[in-house]
Amino acid sequence: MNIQILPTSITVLYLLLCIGIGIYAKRLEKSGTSHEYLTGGGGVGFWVNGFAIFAAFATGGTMMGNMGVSYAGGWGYIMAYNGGVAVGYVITVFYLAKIFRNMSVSTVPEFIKVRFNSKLLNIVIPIVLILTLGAYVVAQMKIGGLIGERLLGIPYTWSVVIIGIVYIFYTAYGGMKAVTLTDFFQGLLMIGVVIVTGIIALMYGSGPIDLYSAAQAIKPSWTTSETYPYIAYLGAFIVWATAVTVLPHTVMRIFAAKDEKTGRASLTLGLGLYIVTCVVTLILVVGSTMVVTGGIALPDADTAFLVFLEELTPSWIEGIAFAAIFAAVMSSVSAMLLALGAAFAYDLIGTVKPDYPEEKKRKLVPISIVVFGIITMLFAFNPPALLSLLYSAAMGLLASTLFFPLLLGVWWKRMNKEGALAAALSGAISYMILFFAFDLPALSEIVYALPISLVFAVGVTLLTPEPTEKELRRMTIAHQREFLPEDIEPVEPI
Amino acid sequence: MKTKKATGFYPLARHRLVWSIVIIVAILVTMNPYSYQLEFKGTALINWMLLGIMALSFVIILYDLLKVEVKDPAAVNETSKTKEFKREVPFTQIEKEGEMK
Repeated sequence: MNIQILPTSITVLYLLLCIGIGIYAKRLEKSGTSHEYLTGGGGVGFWVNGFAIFAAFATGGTMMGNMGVSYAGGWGYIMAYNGGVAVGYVITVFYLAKIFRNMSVSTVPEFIKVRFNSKLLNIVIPIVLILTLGAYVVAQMKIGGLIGERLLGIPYTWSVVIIGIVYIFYTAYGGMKAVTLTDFFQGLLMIGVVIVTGIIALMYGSGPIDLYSAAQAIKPSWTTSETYPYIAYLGAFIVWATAVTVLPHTVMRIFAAKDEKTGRASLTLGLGLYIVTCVVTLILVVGSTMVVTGGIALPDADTAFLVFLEELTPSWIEGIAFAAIFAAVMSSVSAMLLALGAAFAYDLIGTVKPDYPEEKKRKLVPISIVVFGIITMLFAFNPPALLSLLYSAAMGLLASTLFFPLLLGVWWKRMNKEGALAAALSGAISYMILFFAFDLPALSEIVYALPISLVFAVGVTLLTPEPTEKELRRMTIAHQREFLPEDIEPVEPI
Repeated sequence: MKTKKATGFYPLARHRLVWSIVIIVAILVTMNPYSYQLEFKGTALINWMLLGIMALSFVIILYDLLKVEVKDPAAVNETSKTKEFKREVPFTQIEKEGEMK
Protein backbone atom coordinates (compact mmCIF):
# COMPACT_ATOMS: atom_id res chain seq x y z
CA MET A 1 0.00 0.00 0.00
CA ASN A 2 1.18 3.52 -0.82
CA ILE A 3 2.32 5.18 2.40
CA GLN A 4 0.14 8.21 1.64
CA ILE A 5 -3.14 6.33 1.15
CA LEU A 6 -3.67 5.14 4.72
CA PRO A 7 -2.90 8.47 6.46
CA THR A 8 -5.05 10.28 3.91
CA SER A 9 -7.98 7.88 4.46
CA ILE A 10 -7.75 8.26 8.23
CA THR A 11 -7.69 12.04 7.95
CA VAL A 12 -10.63 12.17 5.54
CA LEU A 13 -12.59 9.88 7.89
CA TYR A 14 -11.73 12.18 10.76
CA LEU A 15 -12.91 15.28 8.89
CA LEU A 16 -16.22 13.58 8.01
CA LEU A 17 -16.69 12.60 11.64
CA CYS A 18 -16.23 16.23 12.72
CA ILE A 19 -18.95 17.29 10.27
CA GLY A 20 -21.21 14.54 11.62
CA ILE A 21 -20.64 15.65 15.21
CA GLY A 22 -21.48 19.22 14.21
CA ILE A 23 -24.81 18.12 12.72
CA TYR A 24 -25.56 15.95 15.77
CA ALA A 25 -24.80 18.85 18.13
CA LYS A 26 -27.19 21.09 16.23
CA ARG A 27 -29.99 18.57 16.85
CA LEU A 28 -29.33 18.74 20.60
CA GLU A 29 -30.09 22.47 20.64
CA LYS A 30 -33.06 23.30 22.88
CA SER A 31 -33.84 26.99 23.30
CA GLY A 32 -31.89 28.33 20.33
CA THR A 33 -30.85 31.47 22.24
CA SER A 34 -27.50 33.23 21.91
CA HIS A 35 -26.62 32.10 25.44
CA GLU A 36 -27.17 28.45 24.52
CA TYR A 37 -25.31 28.86 21.24
CA LEU A 38 -22.28 30.45 22.95
CA THR A 39 -22.16 28.32 26.11
CA GLY A 40 -23.67 25.04 24.93
CA GLY A 41 -26.48 25.48 27.43
CA GLY A 42 -24.19 25.31 30.45
CA GLY A 43 -24.66 21.56 31.01
CA VAL A 44 -21.30 20.10 29.99
CA GLY A 45 -19.93 17.44 32.35
CA PHE A 46 -16.46 16.85 33.80
CA TRP A 47 -14.88 14.46 31.29
CA VAL A 48 -16.22 16.10 28.16
CA ASN A 49 -15.35 19.60 29.37
CA GLY A 50 -11.92 18.54 30.68
CA PHE A 51 -10.85 16.95 27.40
CA ALA A 52 -12.40 19.86 25.52
CA ILE A 53 -10.38 22.37 27.58
CA PHE A 54 -7.23 20.38 26.89
CA ALA A 55 -8.01 20.15 23.17
CA ALA A 56 -8.88 23.82 22.87
CA PHE A 57 -5.74 24.91 24.66
CA ALA A 58 -3.33 22.33 23.23
CA THR A 59 -3.17 23.86 19.80
CA GLY A 60 -1.44 23.03 16.61
CA GLY A 61 1.26 25.14 18.19
CA THR A 62 1.54 22.64 21.03
CA MET A 63 1.72 19.70 18.67
CA MET A 64 4.16 21.32 16.23
CA GLY A 65 5.16 24.91 16.95
CA ASN A 66 6.34 24.23 20.50
CA MET A 67 8.34 21.25 19.33
CA GLY A 68 9.86 23.52 16.67
CA VAL A 69 10.97 26.01 19.33
CA SER A 70 12.30 23.18 21.51
CA TYR A 71 14.26 21.74 18.59
CA ALA A 72 15.68 25.08 17.47
CA GLY A 73 16.11 26.95 20.74
CA GLY A 74 16.14 24.40 23.58
CA TRP A 75 13.41 22.79 25.66
CA GLY A 76 13.83 25.13 28.63
CA TYR A 77 12.62 28.22 26.80
CA ILE A 78 9.44 26.57 25.61
CA MET A 79 8.99 25.12 29.10
CA ALA A 80 8.86 28.73 30.33
CA TYR A 81 5.74 29.11 28.15
CA ASN A 82 4.24 26.02 29.68
CA GLY A 83 5.20 26.81 33.25
CA GLY A 84 3.34 30.07 32.68
CA VAL A 85 0.35 28.16 31.35
CA ALA A 86 0.24 26.03 34.51
CA VAL A 87 0.38 29.09 36.76
CA GLY A 88 -2.30 30.70 34.60
CA TYR A 89 -4.56 27.75 35.37
CA VAL A 90 -3.98 28.29 39.09
CA ILE A 91 -4.91 31.98 38.77
CA THR A 92 -8.01 31.03 36.79
CA VAL A 93 -9.14 28.40 39.29
CA PHE A 94 -8.36 30.42 42.42
CA TYR A 95 -9.38 33.89 41.35
CA LEU A 96 -11.68 33.84 38.33
CA ALA A 97 -13.53 30.58 37.61
CA LYS A 98 -16.10 30.70 40.39
CA ILE A 99 -16.90 34.37 39.95
CA PHE A 100 -17.13 34.18 36.18
CA ARG A 101 -19.45 31.21 36.45
CA ASN A 102 -21.58 32.84 39.14
CA MET A 103 -21.92 36.04 37.11
CA SER A 104 -24.07 34.10 34.58
CA VAL A 105 -22.52 35.76 31.54
CA SER A 106 -21.63 34.22 28.17
CA THR A 107 -18.37 35.93 27.17
CA VAL A 108 -15.40 37.80 28.65
CA PRO A 109 -16.51 41.17 27.20
CA GLU A 110 -19.95 40.57 28.67
CA PHE A 111 -18.32 40.22 32.07
CA ILE A 112 -16.53 43.53 31.50
CA LYS A 113 -19.83 45.06 30.48
CA VAL A 114 -21.78 44.01 33.57
CA ARG A 115 -18.90 44.86 35.90
CA PHE A 116 -17.94 48.30 34.55
CA ASN A 117 -20.84 49.44 32.36
CA SER A 118 -18.52 51.47 30.09
CA LYS A 119 -19.39 51.86 26.42
CA LEU A 120 -15.84 52.75 25.38
CA LEU A 121 -14.42 49.74 27.23
CA ASN A 122 -16.96 47.51 25.53
CA ILE A 123 -15.77 48.69 22.15
CA VAL A 124 -12.04 48.48 22.93
CA ILE A 125 -12.09 44.96 24.43
CA PRO A 126 -13.90 43.18 21.54
CA ILE A 127 -11.61 44.93 19.02
CA VAL A 128 -8.49 43.74 20.88
CA LEU A 129 -9.99 40.25 21.07
CA ILE A 130 -10.72 40.20 17.35
CA LEU A 131 -7.17 41.31 16.45
CA THR A 132 -5.35 38.96 18.82
CA LEU A 133 -7.51 35.90 18.27
CA GLY A 134 -7.28 36.56 14.54
CA ALA A 135 -3.47 36.34 14.73
CA TYR A 136 -3.78 33.19 16.84
CA VAL A 137 -6.09 31.56 14.30
CA VAL A 138 -3.74 32.39 11.40
CA ALA A 139 -0.84 30.73 13.23
CA GLN A 140 -2.92 27.59 13.78
CA MET A 141 -4.01 27.45 10.18
CA LYS A 142 -0.44 27.48 8.96
CA ILE A 143 0.02 24.19 10.77
CA GLY A 144 -3.05 22.74 9.10
CA GLY A 145 -1.68 23.83 5.75
CA LEU A 146 1.74 22.29 6.40
CA ILE A 147 0.21 18.97 7.40
CA GLY A 148 -2.06 18.82 4.39
CA GLU A 149 0.84 19.66 2.11
CA ARG A 150 2.92 16.81 3.48
CA LEU A 151 0.10 14.35 3.86
CA LEU A 152 -2.08 14.85 0.83
CA GLY A 153 0.58 16.20 -1.48
CA ILE A 154 -1.66 19.10 -2.45
CA PRO A 155 -0.65 22.77 -2.38
CA TYR A 156 -0.47 24.44 1.03
CA THR A 157 -3.27 26.85 0.10
CA TRP A 158 -5.74 24.09 -0.76
CA SER A 159 -4.91 22.28 2.42
CA VAL A 160 -5.81 25.39 4.43
CA VAL A 161 -9.06 25.70 2.49
CA ILE A 162 -10.12 22.07 3.05
CA ILE A 163 -9.70 22.02 6.82
CA GLY A 164 -11.03 25.58 7.00
CA ILE A 165 -14.31 24.61 5.38
CA VAL A 166 -14.80 21.74 7.85
CA TYR A 167 -14.25 23.66 11.07
CA ILE A 168 -16.03 26.78 9.89
CA PHE A 169 -19.03 24.58 9.08
CA TYR A 170 -19.35 22.77 12.38
CA THR A 171 -18.55 25.85 14.48
CA ALA A 172 -21.06 28.11 12.73
CA TYR A 173 -23.70 25.38 12.51
CA GLY A 174 -23.56 23.86 15.98
CA GLY A 175 -22.07 26.60 18.19
CA MET A 176 -20.40 25.79 21.51
CA LYS A 177 -22.11 22.39 21.75
CA ALA A 178 -20.57 21.27 18.46
CA VAL A 179 -17.22 22.81 19.41
CA THR A 180 -17.23 21.05 22.78
CA LEU A 181 -18.20 17.64 21.41
CA THR A 182 -15.65 17.80 18.59
CA ASP A 183 -13.05 19.08 21.07
CA PHE A 184 -13.75 16.12 23.36
CA PHE A 185 -13.22 13.69 20.51
CA GLN A 186 -10.16 15.64 19.33
CA GLY A 187 -8.74 15.72 22.86
CA LEU A 188 -9.00 11.93 23.13
CA LEU A 189 -7.26 11.56 19.79
CA MET A 190 -4.49 13.98 20.74
CA ILE A 191 -3.65 12.48 24.11
CA GLY A 192 -3.68 9.00 22.52
CA VAL A 193 -1.13 10.13 19.95
CA VAL A 194 0.99 11.87 22.58
CA ILE A 195 1.20 8.69 24.65
CA VAL A 196 1.93 6.45 21.66
CA THR A 197 4.62 8.75 20.25
CA GLY A 198 6.14 9.04 23.73
CA ILE A 199 6.40 5.26 23.94
CA ILE A 200 7.95 5.10 20.45
CA ALA A 201 10.48 7.78 21.44
CA LEU A 202 11.41 5.80 24.54
CA MET A 203 11.76 2.57 22.55
CA TYR A 204 14.03 4.33 20.06
CA GLY A 205 16.53 5.15 22.79
CA SER A 206 17.56 2.85 25.61
CA GLY A 207 15.29 4.55 28.12
CA PRO A 208 14.63 8.20 28.90
CA ILE A 209 18.01 8.97 30.49
CA ASP A 210 20.06 7.53 27.63
CA LEU A 211 17.84 9.26 25.09
CA TYR A 212 18.19 12.58 26.88
CA SER A 213 21.98 12.22 27.18
CA ALA A 214 22.31 11.30 23.51
CA ALA A 215 20.31 14.33 22.38
CA GLN A 216 22.25 16.55 24.78
CA ALA A 217 25.57 15.28 23.41
CA ILE A 218 24.47 16.01 19.84
CA LYS A 219 23.25 19.53 20.61
CA PRO A 220 24.28 20.87 24.05
CA SER A 221 22.32 24.09 23.53
CA TRP A 222 19.11 22.03 23.58
CA THR A 223 19.38 21.66 27.35
CA THR A 224 21.05 24.94 28.32
CA SER A 225 19.60 28.43 28.42
CA GLU A 226 22.07 30.10 26.07
CA THR A 227 19.84 30.55 22.99
CA TYR A 228 17.42 33.04 24.53
CA PRO A 229 18.21 35.81 27.06
CA TYR A 230 16.85 35.72 30.59
CA ILE A 231 14.31 38.46 29.87
CA ALA A 232 12.80 36.32 27.08
CA TYR A 233 12.28 33.45 29.55
CA LEU A 234 10.62 35.83 31.96
CA GLY A 235 8.47 37.34 29.23
CA ALA A 236 7.33 33.96 27.89
CA PHE A 237 6.40 32.87 31.41
CA ILE A 238 4.44 36.03 32.19
CA VAL A 239 2.70 36.12 28.80
CA TRP A 240 1.18 32.70 29.33
CA ALA A 241 0.55 33.00 33.06
CA THR A 242 -1.63 36.00 32.34
CA ALA A 243 -2.99 35.12 28.88
CA VAL A 244 -4.48 31.82 30.02
CA THR A 245 -6.65 33.68 32.49
CA VAL A 246 -8.15 35.96 29.85
CA LEU A 247 -8.31 33.67 26.82
CA PRO A 248 -11.97 33.63 25.83
CA HIS A 249 -11.91 30.12 24.42
CA THR A 250 -10.71 28.78 27.78
CA VAL A 251 -12.81 31.04 29.99
CA MET A 252 -15.97 30.26 28.01
CA ARG A 253 -15.56 26.60 29.08
CA ILE A 254 -16.25 27.68 32.63
CA PHE A 255 -19.55 29.12 31.43
CA ALA A 256 -20.23 25.87 29.55
CA ALA A 257 -19.67 23.62 32.58
CA LYS A 258 -22.58 21.99 34.42
CA ASP A 259 -21.72 23.92 37.56
CA GLU A 260 -18.87 25.88 39.07
CA LYS A 261 -17.12 22.90 40.63
CA THR A 262 -17.36 20.91 37.41
CA GLY A 263 -15.74 23.89 35.70
CA ARG A 264 -12.82 23.81 38.14
CA ALA A 265 -12.52 20.02 37.91
CA SER A 266 -12.45 20.28 34.13
CA LEU A 267 -9.66 22.85 34.29
CA THR A 268 -7.69 20.50 36.54
CA LEU A 269 -8.10 17.61 34.10
CA GLY A 270 -7.21 19.89 31.20
CA LEU A 271 -4.02 21.01 32.93
CA GLY A 272 -3.03 17.43 33.82
CA LEU A 273 -3.36 16.32 30.20
CA TYR A 274 -1.49 19.40 29.05
CA ILE A 275 1.46 18.74 31.38
CA VAL A 276 1.76 15.14 30.14
CA THR A 277 1.71 16.44 26.57
CA CYS A 278 4.44 19.01 27.25
CA VAL A 279 6.84 16.61 28.91
CA VAL A 280 6.36 13.90 26.30
CA THR A 281 6.51 16.09 23.22
CA LEU A 282 9.11 18.70 24.22
CA ILE A 283 11.60 16.33 25.80
CA LEU A 284 11.06 12.75 24.64
CA VAL A 285 9.82 13.30 21.09
CA VAL A 286 12.12 16.23 20.31
CA GLY A 287 15.05 14.40 21.97
CA SER A 288 14.59 11.38 19.73
CA THR A 289 14.13 13.64 16.68
CA MET A 290 17.43 15.28 17.59
CA VAL A 291 19.11 11.86 17.62
CA VAL A 292 17.53 10.90 14.28
CA THR A 293 18.54 14.08 12.47
CA GLY A 294 21.91 14.46 14.17
CA GLY A 295 20.81 17.88 15.36
CA ILE A 296 21.04 19.57 11.96
CA ALA A 297 19.12 22.81 11.46
CA LEU A 298 15.81 22.03 9.72
CA PRO A 299 14.66 24.37 6.93
CA ASP A 300 11.52 24.98 9.01
CA ALA A 301 11.91 24.02 12.66
CA ASP A 302 8.13 23.74 13.00
CA THR A 303 8.31 20.51 11.01
CA ALA A 304 10.37 18.68 13.67
CA PHE A 305 7.38 16.52 14.68
CA LEU A 306 6.71 15.61 11.05
CA VAL A 307 10.31 14.44 10.73
CA PHE A 308 9.83 12.28 13.84
CA LEU A 309 6.66 10.74 12.42
CA GLU A 310 8.16 10.06 9.02
CA GLU A 311 11.34 8.54 10.40
CA LEU A 312 10.17 6.59 13.43
CA THR A 313 6.52 5.58 13.14
CA PRO A 314 4.67 3.08 10.94
CA SER A 315 2.29 4.57 8.38
CA TRP A 316 -0.91 3.81 10.32
CA ILE A 317 0.38 5.64 13.39
CA GLU A 318 1.58 8.42 11.15
CA GLY A 319 -1.96 8.67 9.74
CA ILE A 320 -3.55 8.87 13.17
CA ALA A 321 -0.92 11.40 14.27
CA PHE A 322 -1.66 13.56 11.25
CA ALA A 323 -5.33 13.41 12.18
CA ALA A 324 -4.38 14.35 15.76
CA ILE A 325 -2.47 17.41 14.53
CA PHE A 326 -5.47 18.37 12.44
CA ALA A 327 -7.52 17.84 15.60
CA ALA A 328 -5.21 20.13 17.57
CA VAL A 329 -5.53 22.83 14.94
CA MET A 330 -9.27 22.49 14.48
CA SER A 331 -10.18 22.21 18.16
CA SER A 332 -8.39 25.45 18.96
CA VAL A 333 -9.42 27.33 15.85
CA SER A 334 -13.07 26.38 16.18
CA ALA A 335 -13.15 27.51 19.82
CA MET A 336 -11.40 30.74 18.90
CA LEU A 337 -13.66 31.36 15.92
CA LEU A 338 -16.64 31.01 18.23
CA ALA A 339 -15.05 33.57 20.57
CA LEU A 340 -14.32 35.84 17.59
CA GLY A 341 -17.90 35.61 16.36
CA ALA A 342 -19.18 36.30 19.86
CA ALA A 343 -16.80 39.26 20.32
CA PHE A 344 -18.12 40.85 17.14
CA ALA A 345 -21.80 39.98 16.89
CA TYR A 346 -22.68 39.57 20.55
CA ASP A 347 -20.38 42.04 22.31
CA LEU A 348 -19.39 44.74 19.82
CA ILE A 349 -22.73 45.01 18.01
CA GLY A 350 -24.51 44.63 21.33
CA THR A 351 -22.65 47.70 22.60
CA VAL A 352 -22.87 49.85 19.50
CA LYS A 353 -26.55 48.98 19.00
CA PRO A 354 -27.99 48.21 22.45
CA ASP A 355 -31.50 47.75 21.01
CA TYR A 356 -30.39 45.19 18.44
CA PRO A 357 -32.88 42.31 18.80
CA GLU A 358 -31.70 39.09 20.43
CA GLU A 359 -33.03 37.03 17.53
CA LYS A 360 -31.00 39.00 14.98
CA LYS A 361 -27.93 38.87 17.21
CA ARG A 362 -28.27 35.09 17.38
CA LYS A 363 -28.36 34.92 13.58
CA LEU A 364 -25.43 37.31 13.24
CA VAL A 365 -23.04 35.20 15.38
CA PRO A 366 -22.76 32.25 12.91
CA ILE A 367 -22.53 34.67 9.98
CA SER A 368 -19.63 36.50 11.64
CA ILE A 369 -17.98 33.14 12.38
CA VAL A 370 -18.07 32.33 8.65
CA VAL A 371 -16.76 35.78 7.70
CA PHE A 372 -13.91 35.69 10.24
CA GLY A 373 -13.14 32.12 9.20
CA ILE A 374 -12.71 33.21 5.59
CA ILE A 375 -10.69 36.34 6.47
CA THR A 376 -8.24 34.41 8.67
CA MET A 377 -8.00 31.75 5.98
CA LEU A 378 -6.90 34.40 3.49
CA PHE A 379 -4.24 35.67 5.92
CA ALA A 380 -3.05 32.10 6.49
CA PHE A 381 -2.15 31.77 2.81
CA ASN A 382 1.07 33.71 3.47
CA PRO A 383 1.91 33.35 7.19
CA PRO A 384 5.13 34.22 9.04
CA ALA A 385 7.65 31.66 10.36
CA LEU A 386 7.95 30.37 13.95
CA LEU A 387 4.32 29.98 14.89
CA SER A 388 4.73 29.92 18.63
CA LEU A 389 6.32 33.35 18.63
CA LEU A 390 3.56 34.84 16.46
CA TYR A 391 0.64 33.73 18.55
CA SER A 392 2.48 34.29 21.80
CA ALA A 393 3.05 37.92 20.77
CA ALA A 394 -0.69 38.23 20.14
CA MET A 395 -1.38 36.68 23.53
CA GLY A 396 0.99 39.20 25.13
CA LEU A 397 -1.13 42.01 23.75
CA LEU A 398 -4.31 40.35 24.94
CA ALA A 399 -2.94 39.79 28.45
CA SER A 400 -1.51 43.32 28.70
CA THR A 401 -4.94 44.68 27.84
CA LEU A 402 -7.26 42.45 29.84
CA PHE A 403 -5.43 40.92 32.79
CA PHE A 404 -5.69 43.70 35.35
CA PRO A 405 -9.16 44.95 34.35
CA LEU A 406 -10.40 41.39 34.89
CA LEU A 407 -8.46 40.43 38.01
CA LEU A 408 -8.90 43.73 39.83
CA GLY A 409 -12.46 43.98 38.55
CA VAL A 410 -13.28 40.70 40.23
CA TRP A 411 -11.53 41.30 43.56
CA TRP A 412 -11.08 45.03 44.19
CA LYS A 413 -14.37 46.71 45.03
CA ARG A 414 -12.83 50.15 44.49
CA MET A 415 -11.95 49.38 40.86
CA ASN A 416 -14.07 51.51 38.55
CA LYS A 417 -14.63 51.84 34.82
CA GLU A 418 -12.14 54.71 34.47
CA GLY A 419 -9.42 52.58 36.05
CA ALA A 420 -10.32 49.59 33.91
CA LEU A 421 -10.25 51.64 30.74
CA ALA A 422 -6.91 53.23 31.67
CA ALA A 423 -5.46 49.79 32.46
CA ALA A 424 -6.68 48.31 29.18
CA LEU A 425 -5.51 51.20 27.00
CA SER A 426 -2.14 51.72 28.73
CA GLY A 427 -1.42 47.97 28.62
CA ALA A 428 -2.35 47.65 24.94
CA ILE A 429 -0.65 50.84 23.74
CA SER A 430 2.58 50.31 25.69
CA TYR A 431 2.77 46.69 24.48
CA MET A 432 2.36 47.75 20.83
CA ILE A 433 4.89 50.59 21.13
CA LEU A 434 7.43 48.22 22.68
CA PHE A 435 6.67 45.54 20.09
CA PHE A 436 6.90 47.73 16.99
CA ALA A 437 9.31 50.52 17.98
CA PHE A 438 11.92 48.67 20.04
CA ASP A 439 14.09 45.69 19.24
CA LEU A 440 13.42 43.77 22.44
CA PRO A 441 13.98 40.03 22.97
CA ALA A 442 11.02 37.84 22.00
CA LEU A 443 7.97 38.24 24.27
CA SER A 444 9.76 40.50 26.75
CA GLU A 445 7.41 43.44 26.01
CA ILE A 446 4.93 42.21 28.60
CA VAL A 447 7.51 42.52 31.37
CA TYR A 448 7.11 46.30 30.99
CA ALA A 449 3.55 46.58 29.65
CA LEU A 450 1.88 44.70 32.49
CA PRO A 451 3.29 46.85 35.33
CA ILE A 452 2.34 49.97 33.33
CA SER A 453 -1.22 48.64 33.08
CA LEU A 454 -1.26 48.00 36.85
CA VAL A 455 0.00 51.50 37.69
CA PHE A 456 -2.67 53.08 35.48
CA ALA A 457 -5.37 50.79 36.89
CA VAL A 458 -4.62 51.73 40.49
CA GLY A 459 -3.72 55.37 39.88
CA VAL A 460 -6.73 56.30 37.75
CA THR A 461 -9.10 54.34 39.97
CA LEU A 462 -7.95 56.20 43.07
CA LEU A 463 -8.24 59.56 41.29
CA THR A 464 -11.83 58.96 40.15
CA PRO A 465 -15.07 58.25 42.04
CA GLU A 466 -15.69 54.87 43.71
CA PRO A 467 -18.36 52.60 42.30
CA THR A 468 -21.51 52.42 44.40
CA GLU A 469 -22.65 49.22 46.09
CA LYS A 470 -25.58 49.21 43.71
CA GLU A 471 -23.17 49.11 40.78
CA LEU A 472 -21.32 46.24 42.45
CA ARG A 473 -24.45 44.31 43.38
CA ARG A 474 -24.09 41.60 40.74
CA MET A 475 -20.41 41.16 41.55
CA THR A 476 -21.14 40.95 45.27
CA ILE A 477 -23.79 38.29 44.67
CA ALA A 478 -21.39 36.36 42.40
CA HIS A 479 -18.87 36.15 45.24
CA GLN A 480 -21.50 34.34 47.30
CA ARG A 481 -23.61 32.35 44.87
CA GLU A 482 -24.84 32.10 41.29
CA PHE A 483 -26.55 35.20 39.92
CA LEU A 484 -30.12 34.17 39.09
CA PRO A 485 -32.60 35.60 36.56
CA GLU A 486 -34.78 36.95 39.39
CA ASP A 487 -31.80 38.99 40.62
CA ILE A 488 -31.78 41.10 37.47
CA GLU A 489 -32.74 44.71 37.97
CA PRO A 490 -33.66 47.15 35.15
CA VAL A 491 -30.46 48.00 33.26
CA GLU A 492 -29.35 51.61 33.35
CA PRO A 493 -28.38 53.04 29.97
CA ILE A 494 -24.62 53.22 29.27
CA MET B 1 -29.79 60.14 50.70
CA LYS B 2 -26.08 59.58 50.25
CA THR B 3 -25.16 56.52 48.13
CA LYS B 4 -23.06 53.96 49.96
CA LYS B 5 -19.57 53.55 48.47
CA ALA B 6 -17.72 50.28 48.09
CA THR B 7 -14.13 49.90 49.25
CA GLY B 8 -11.67 47.11 50.06
CA PHE B 9 -11.40 43.62 48.58
CA TYR B 10 -13.74 40.67 48.45
CA PRO B 11 -12.70 37.92 50.88
CA LEU B 12 -10.49 35.06 49.69
CA ALA B 13 -10.35 31.57 51.21
CA ARG B 14 -7.36 31.18 53.55
CA HIS B 15 -5.97 28.08 51.84
CA ARG B 16 -6.01 29.87 48.49
CA LEU B 17 -4.10 32.78 49.97
CA VAL B 18 -1.51 30.42 51.47
CA TRP B 19 -1.10 28.47 48.21
CA SER B 20 -0.84 31.72 46.27
CA ILE B 21 2.06 32.79 48.47
CA VAL B 22 3.69 29.35 48.05
CA ILE B 23 3.53 29.52 44.28
CA ILE B 24 4.73 33.13 44.17
CA VAL B 25 7.79 32.10 46.20
CA ALA B 26 8.34 29.12 43.88
CA ILE B 27 8.13 31.45 40.87
CA LEU B 28 10.61 33.90 42.39
CA VAL B 29 13.05 31.07 43.10
CA THR B 30 12.63 29.69 39.58
CA MET B 31 12.44 32.79 37.41
CA ASN B 32 15.59 34.56 38.56
CA PRO B 33 18.93 35.15 36.80
CA TYR B 34 20.77 32.66 39.03
CA SER B 35 18.51 29.74 38.14
CA TYR B 36 18.87 30.83 34.54
CA GLN B 37 22.67 30.77 34.64
CA LEU B 38 23.29 27.73 36.84
CA GLU B 39 23.53 24.31 35.24
CA PHE B 40 23.14 20.79 36.59
CA LYS B 41 24.78 18.08 34.47
CA GLY B 42 24.63 20.24 31.37
CA THR B 43 21.01 21.30 31.83
CA ALA B 44 20.02 24.79 32.96
CA LEU B 45 18.58 24.69 36.46
CA ILE B 46 15.68 26.88 35.36
CA ASN B 47 14.54 24.10 32.99
CA TRP B 48 14.06 21.55 35.79
CA MET B 49 12.52 24.16 38.08
CA LEU B 50 9.98 25.08 35.43
CA LEU B 51 8.95 21.44 35.33
CA GLY B 52 8.60 21.68 39.09
CA ILE B 53 6.37 24.76 38.76
CA MET B 54 4.08 22.83 36.42
CA ALA B 55 3.84 19.90 38.81
CA LEU B 56 3.27 22.19 41.80
CA SER B 57 0.50 24.05 39.96
CA PHE B 58 -1.29 20.81 39.20
CA VAL B 59 -1.00 19.60 42.80
CA ILE B 60 -2.34 22.92 44.10
CA ILE B 61 -5.46 23.02 41.98
CA LEU B 62 -6.09 19.33 42.64
CA TYR B 63 -5.88 20.00 46.39
CA ASP B 64 -8.19 22.97 45.98
CA LEU B 65 -10.67 20.83 44.08
CA LEU B 66 -10.71 18.05 46.66
CA LYS B 67 -10.88 20.38 49.64
CA VAL B 68 -14.38 20.65 51.06
CA GLU B 69 -15.41 24.30 51.18
CA VAL B 70 -17.37 25.61 54.13
CA LYS B 71 -18.77 29.03 53.40
CA ASP B 72 -17.47 31.71 55.72
CA PRO B 73 -20.45 33.66 57.12
CA ALA B 74 -18.19 36.70 57.55
CA ALA B 75 -17.67 36.74 53.80
CA VAL B 76 -21.32 37.54 53.17
CA ASN B 77 -21.99 41.22 52.70
CA GLU B 78 -25.02 41.91 54.84
CA THR B 79 -26.08 44.92 52.82
CA SER B 80 -26.49 42.98 49.60
CA LYS B 81 -29.86 41.53 48.71
CA THR B 82 -28.66 37.95 48.70
CA LYS B 83 -31.24 35.26 48.50
CA GLU B 84 -31.05 31.77 49.90
CA PHE B 85 -28.26 29.84 48.20
CA LYS B 86 -29.44 28.06 45.07
CA ARG B 87 -27.48 25.94 42.69
CA GLU B 88 -28.63 23.60 39.96
CA VAL B 89 -26.50 20.73 41.18
CA PRO B 90 -25.29 20.70 44.80
CA PHE B 91 -21.53 20.17 45.05
CA THR B 92 -21.59 17.75 47.94
CA GLN B 93 -23.88 17.23 50.86
CA ILE B 94 -21.17 18.31 53.27
CA GLU B 95 -20.58 21.51 51.39
CA LYS B 96 -24.28 22.24 51.31
CA GLU B 97 -24.54 21.78 55.06
CA GLY B 98 -21.58 24.09 55.51
CA GLU B 99 -23.31 26.82 53.54
CA MET B 100 -26.51 26.52 55.55
CA LYS B 101 -24.78 26.99 58.90
